Amino acid sequence: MSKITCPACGSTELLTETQIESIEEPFGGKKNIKTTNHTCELCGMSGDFSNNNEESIKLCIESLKTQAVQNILEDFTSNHYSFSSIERALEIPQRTLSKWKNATSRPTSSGIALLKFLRLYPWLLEVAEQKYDYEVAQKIHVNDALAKVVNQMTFSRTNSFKPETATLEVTHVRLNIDHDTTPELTDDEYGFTTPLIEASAN
Amino acid sequence: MPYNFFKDFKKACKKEPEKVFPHKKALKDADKLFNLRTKSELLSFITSNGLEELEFETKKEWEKNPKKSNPMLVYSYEFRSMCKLGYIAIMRNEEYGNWIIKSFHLSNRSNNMMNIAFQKAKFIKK
Repeated sequence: MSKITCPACGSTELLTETQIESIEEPFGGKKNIKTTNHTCELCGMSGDFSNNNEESIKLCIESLKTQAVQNILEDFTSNHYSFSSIERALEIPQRTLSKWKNATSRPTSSGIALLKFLRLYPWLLEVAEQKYDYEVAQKIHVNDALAKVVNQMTFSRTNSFKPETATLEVTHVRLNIDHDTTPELTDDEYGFTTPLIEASAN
Repeated sequence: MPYNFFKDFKKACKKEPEKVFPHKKALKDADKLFNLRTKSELLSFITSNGLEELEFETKKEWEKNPKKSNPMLVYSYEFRSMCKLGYIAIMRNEEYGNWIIKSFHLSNRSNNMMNIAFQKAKFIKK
């Protein structure tokens, strides 16, 4: 085996360390793997000079992606989405999702991306069900967004808009109007006389 | 010249990936900022013209070079990938035929994205 050298300066004065690297995958969790890192003591260049980490990182990402697929599919099951209806809506062959779940076949990268989107936005299934009609899709999207906004709004006295207080503030303004000096009367276009008051709150 | 340098680099990424070494920090940034999780993903992104609107920025001598007899130049470029403005710095060790990706991160100008978009749309002058 040839001696490892710094790819930048060619020095052999290297510091080799084994590190624990944490790899994360959305919906798949996290895994730690051991990687080798070289640092050149002369020029400071740092990295995997022996090209050995690549394979273990790839394997780790793959296993996390498999886990992500299983987690997402389990999530669908627990939320009462049947695989056959998802497959029908998306027009993908029946039993595809079961095969992915049982790991008898592996989804492609695009399949995994699709599952992640469906997990984040389950209403996309309804869009597919409606044959990707643009107008309907917009409605479904807006409905979902509105439902989320309404769910997030709190109507308690402490955290939301308080009409009672607002009324009190208006009353307070009215009470501070100096009636002796400010009112002037004018006729508006309907013939009513309206006091011209510039309300000022103290 | 700087664009030929990058062309050679791209060729190396495709034909001799074992001769391309991303700095640890560059690889971390590529993962964190551009979802390019491994060296092969990064090189494949570069070779498939992922660095759009590549613009040469500067060329300067590698300051940390311990062998002053073998001067090495660091070429830096800016690029765009969707709505992200990126920055890449590369250098080549002629003696060993190695390519080093020194940096791969967001450009310092990336917070001017709206400005650039307006320039492109010719709403404002450069």
